[in-house]
Amino acid sequence: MRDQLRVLKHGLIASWTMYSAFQTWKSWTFMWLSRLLVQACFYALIGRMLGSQEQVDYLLVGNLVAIMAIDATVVILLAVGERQSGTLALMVAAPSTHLTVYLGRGLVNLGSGVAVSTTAFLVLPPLFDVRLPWPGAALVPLMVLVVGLSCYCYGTCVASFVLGFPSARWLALNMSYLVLMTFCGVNVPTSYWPDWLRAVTSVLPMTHGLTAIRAFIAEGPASTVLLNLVLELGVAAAWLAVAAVSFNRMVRRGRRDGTIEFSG
Amino acid sequence: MRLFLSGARTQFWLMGRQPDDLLTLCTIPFTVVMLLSIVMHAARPDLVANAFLAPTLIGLWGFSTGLAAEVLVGERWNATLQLGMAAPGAVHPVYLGRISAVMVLGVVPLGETWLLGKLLFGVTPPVHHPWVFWAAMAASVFAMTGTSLLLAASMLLSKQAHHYLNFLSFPIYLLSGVMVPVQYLPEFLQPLSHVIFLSSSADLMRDSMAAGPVSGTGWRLLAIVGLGVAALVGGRVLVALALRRAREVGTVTYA
Amino acid sequence: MNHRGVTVSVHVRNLTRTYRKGKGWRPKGEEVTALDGLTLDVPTNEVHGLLGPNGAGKTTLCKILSTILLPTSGTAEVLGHDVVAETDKVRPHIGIVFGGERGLYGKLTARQTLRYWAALYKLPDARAEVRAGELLGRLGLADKADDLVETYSRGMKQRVHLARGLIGDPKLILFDEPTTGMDPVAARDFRKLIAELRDEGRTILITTHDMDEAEEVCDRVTLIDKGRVLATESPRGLAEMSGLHRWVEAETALDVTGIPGVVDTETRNGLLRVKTTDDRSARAVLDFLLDNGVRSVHAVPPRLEDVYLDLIGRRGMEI
Repeated sequence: MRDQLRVLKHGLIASWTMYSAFQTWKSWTFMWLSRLLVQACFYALIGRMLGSQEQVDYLLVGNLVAIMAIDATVVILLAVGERQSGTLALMVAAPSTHLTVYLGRGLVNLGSGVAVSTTAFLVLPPLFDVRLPWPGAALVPLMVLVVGLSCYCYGTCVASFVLGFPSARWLALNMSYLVLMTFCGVNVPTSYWPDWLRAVTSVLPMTHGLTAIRAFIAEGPASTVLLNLVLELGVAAAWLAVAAVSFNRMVRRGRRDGTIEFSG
Repeated sequence: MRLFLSGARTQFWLMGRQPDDLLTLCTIPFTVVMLLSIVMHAARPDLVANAFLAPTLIGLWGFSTGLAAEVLVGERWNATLQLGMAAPGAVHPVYLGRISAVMVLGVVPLGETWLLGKLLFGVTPPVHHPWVFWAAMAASVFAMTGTSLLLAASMLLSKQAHHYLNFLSFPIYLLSGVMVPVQYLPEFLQPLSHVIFLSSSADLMRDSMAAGPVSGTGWRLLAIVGLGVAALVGGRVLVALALRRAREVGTVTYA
Repeated sequence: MNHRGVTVSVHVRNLTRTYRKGKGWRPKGEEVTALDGLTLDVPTNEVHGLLGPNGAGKTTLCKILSTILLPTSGTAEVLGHDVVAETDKVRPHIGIVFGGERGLYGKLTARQTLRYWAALYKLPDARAEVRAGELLGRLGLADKADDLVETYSRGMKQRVHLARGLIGDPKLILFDEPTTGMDPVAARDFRKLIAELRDEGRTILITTHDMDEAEEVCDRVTLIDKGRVLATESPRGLAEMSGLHRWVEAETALDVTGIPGVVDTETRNGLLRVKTTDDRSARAVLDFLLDNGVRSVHAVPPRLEDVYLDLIGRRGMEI
């Protein structure tokens, strides 16, 4: 366990170095954060056009959380990149497991996503007259973190399947977060969808977490909030487990059919 | 003209084999479902036109920033830019041809949106002034081509090109009122909208779908085309500047 | 060798090019000199090699000759036309060939690649089609002309590059590290092709790290270091003129290190190579070996690689 934590630590350092080579605090703030804040505004403004504050509340809260999904699922690109960089052979030959690296590859981006949602949560509600139950609302970022973890685990699982089709990675990334933003109760309640689709959303991340956040903000029963957070964590664990199995299968299959390339 | 056509033809060859280039076509359905579900769930059939127009124009813009604006950066990355600079034929018409080929595809999201609206939600908005609608669409594709050239040249000069491209999505959608008309924006932001041709396009196309008469069609079309010409000229100058700078400084990137 | 009376394809005088490091539209940082008063003539119909370590200025020179970079000072003429003022007269007559995979569209077929570049070389469509067909046939790509370039082997990609460079029927061809990553068979074919191109009357300028290749295909080579010409000669002439060490090669295991004038010895596959300071010591080694009954002995002039290493030093090996 300690060995794996050390791998995770150094993996995080490496990820951070690569991330900060691509993104400076300026580009993050003015290009990335601000773009996502505007994205949330775009949907909240539709609520205004619809002419009801209730709609504004619903759309804003949903999108405050949803804008995190891109960062949380970027792990799909990063894992494919890791696979393409040819390090897999070196990792498999090393005494530690490759799983820690692959499963932890996008944690820095998850951090960015949670930071984006948290900032949005602090900045945007006053602009759209959305009332939050302060000081209790300070707990919302923690719930956002739970949703983020769950989206991340789902991302690693998608990543594990896309590894074999690296050219589809951009498509996979876009599909993955757009599915969450479209169907998981961000813009309209999941009850709007046909039964089969609602059943699908119940095993997707964001659905339960967002329900919990909405219930919490509406000062609904604590049991609803807790139950949905637990469900969200359960969804996260399930996706992570599938991802781990799938990454392991990649190596088992690779050793059998020789698809783990040795160099360049 | 031959160089322009050769560029366009080559771009079609390339796009046919790079499914990634057509990513926008795969993301548009989600935008359609998101926006239509909001409007339908709120029981506001009067806003269906908005929900159809937004994915159409977002798709057009998406093809521009996602593909057309990357043509020149891609050339540099591929080291074909310098080979082009050393060729006797002028490269501008070739690149403009390639960008135009991309923007022709920018019309596809329109069909996609209408089809998905019909199939998934069983609605299609009436278009009361089809001629105005199509004229506005054509003008928008033209203006988008000019804007793409401008963006492509800026990307060539910028070190942070991809950050900018990424940024130029929702802020533009919001400012140009593709879904929510500009009047709903705070007043201090509204003048900014006028600079973006997409806001004129969105307004005119929305009016062309509505039952009432459309006023000042000619002038409004001219405004879209005019902004397109301005971008085209700006882009042409910027490409020339970038290539000249490349010859002088030895690097194409403004870093 | 004096080139008076011989037409010159490349005429370079005091060519200097500096870059500035730093940011901004006009970088104001530290100045780096890539070419430092370089002077060079390449007669028409010569295969000329540009040798030098990384950063010596070879690529900068090629860029200037191909009109994509302006010199800081000095002049360069290609086929009698100034590369700064008369780009429209220069460009139709030069072909550029890169090594490796840069400069190709993986998602085009070889035929499409040639059609695209034919347009940029102002060939009318009908002629472009004929010319593309000819080049594909000549370079052995006809069978796969309609396959995507990305599916090609390295050697085939290199031939696509060559075909691309030849599309405008250039009089001067600039090869930038052409055999990078080529396997020995492809490299041999490439050398044969260079000879053919010369026979057609073209002038060829090659930058390379590969001394054997330069020795084999080049009529003359120019050694460049730090933006300056160290020497221009035929590979053999350069070696002889350098007045450097003589080598003696023999199939023996005898120890010769004690003989005066022996600088270094090395043994490869049973072949002893002895580096001596001059002809006299080389003769002394020869005599010693013959006296000791060694049959297979001969003196060899220094190879181009030896000259290169002596003139430029071991830096050149950091490739």
